[in-house]
Amino acid sequence: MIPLDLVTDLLQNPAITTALWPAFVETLQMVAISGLATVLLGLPLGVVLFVTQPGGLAANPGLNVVLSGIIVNITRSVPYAILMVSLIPLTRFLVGTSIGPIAASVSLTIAAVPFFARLVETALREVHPGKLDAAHAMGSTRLQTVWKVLLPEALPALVAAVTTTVVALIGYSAMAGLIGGGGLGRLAYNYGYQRFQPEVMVVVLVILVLLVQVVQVIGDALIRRVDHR
Amino acid sequence: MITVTDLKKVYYQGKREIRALDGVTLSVPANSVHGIVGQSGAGKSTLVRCLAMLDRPTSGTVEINGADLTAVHAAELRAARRRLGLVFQHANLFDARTILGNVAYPLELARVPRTEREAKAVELLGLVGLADAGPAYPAQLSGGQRQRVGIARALATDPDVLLCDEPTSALDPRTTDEILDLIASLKARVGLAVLVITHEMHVVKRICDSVTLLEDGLVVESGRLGEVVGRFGGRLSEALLALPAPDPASGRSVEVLDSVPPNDVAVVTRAERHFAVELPVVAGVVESLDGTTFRRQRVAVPDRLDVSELVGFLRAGGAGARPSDPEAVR
Repeated sequence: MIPLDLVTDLLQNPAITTALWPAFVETLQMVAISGLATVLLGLPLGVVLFVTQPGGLAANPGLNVVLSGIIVNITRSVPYAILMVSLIPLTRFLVGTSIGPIAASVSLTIAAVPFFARLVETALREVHPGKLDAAHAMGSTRLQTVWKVLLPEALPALVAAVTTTVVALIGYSAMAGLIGGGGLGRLAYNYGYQRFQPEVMVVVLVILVLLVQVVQVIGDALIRRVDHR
Repeated sequence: MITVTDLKKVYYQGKREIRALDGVTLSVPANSVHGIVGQSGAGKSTLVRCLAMLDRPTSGTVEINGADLTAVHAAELRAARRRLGLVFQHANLFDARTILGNVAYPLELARVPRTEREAKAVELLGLVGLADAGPAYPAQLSGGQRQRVGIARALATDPDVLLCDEPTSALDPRTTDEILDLIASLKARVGLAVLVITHEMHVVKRICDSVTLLEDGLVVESGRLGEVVGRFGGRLSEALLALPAPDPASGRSVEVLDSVPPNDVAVVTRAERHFAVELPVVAGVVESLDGTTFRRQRVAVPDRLDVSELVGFLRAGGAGARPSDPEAVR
């Protein structure tokens, strides 16, 4: 069992009593802002990746190679730790500072958009091409095919993609915390690593595990709701 | 009425030219069902895709009541498409929409107001025998029910042509017949020309008024059902009245095709009387097609009877006849 004195120590530790809640809120802010931005930017990018592929709804091999080969693959090859440091100038330009959860959301979004766009592309590929033929044969425009058929048919897989991305963002947000993003990652590093209080690190870990569980459970419940297959 | 004239589709596989359709001409009048049969690779799928303008034909025309689909583009083509309903092998319903939403989809595209299109969808679901299925989702229906919904959806815009691509190939025999009877009942709807692409002769026998055999992108045989079946030795006739292969050990035999009215004396019986022999039937099939009863039989020939003499008598009697194995005639 957990020794009682360890628990009372923890409950008196300022890292837990005063710093934990704001750090938690900062993590939520980072994940929420970057998550929303990622979906808003990554969904259209994923759709464009899908429709421009050879034989696609709006086949455009040139654009597809540029988007897929160059932008998405290159961004995804850069390790996040390097990406977030190299994006500091851009972050300053966009939000005026490189400190805080909003600033951290810039690099988080840029790292997550290509990842999410690939998941979207994969989700759309799962839609049976016969359904697109049917939409086409009934006289749908390409926009109608995407909006009224492709996206609704892929919705369960798209919700799963959002869940996976949010979970990944929770992980990345801990790293972003180290260079000024704040949040739980920063708290765990400052207290757990630099001040030799491993118990704080354990508390943060437990909170992160619970957070990921909650996101996954909500995501799975949503999928069941939208999945009519 | 749909008229297809010299339709060609050429693909390139690297430098190799593939003529998937090599000049297909056919015409299906309103109020009739036309079957297109052929082996896989004959060009059936390409033909469907070109007729529905899912793929652009290389050359040739597809006219529906005189309007050429190959001549129009974009917006006009989308409007023209409403005159052709397409039924797929696997229905291809939208899983995210209810049954009602699926049937109403083409009307949604045509900007028909919601109450009007839902009323129409309900009416069509009644027509295909699924009046209560509206609020369900496709996954809740059986394969046959989904195909009924697919048919209702194809009829939503009151098309002039219904194009069915292997509509029963994924269904069990009983459901197949139910769907075929439904399709056959639709031709009574004013002005509907039905085109059924299939590899199953059963489909042709059950519902088609006329039939075309496609091979290597070419029309090999075409005509009214009675006409092609009565063509002794023809590919469609042999496929529609299929006999098992002759047993090499069974001795000499003759194949006969006759189409006398059911109550008349069959030509084989007349031959038996004429030659005073018995001609045992070793294989046979009787089908009533296109208002005529066809009998295709293989009869064993006794040693004392000359095969060519028998064949001559049968032919003189108006039947098609030939030795099963030409080598056997010495």
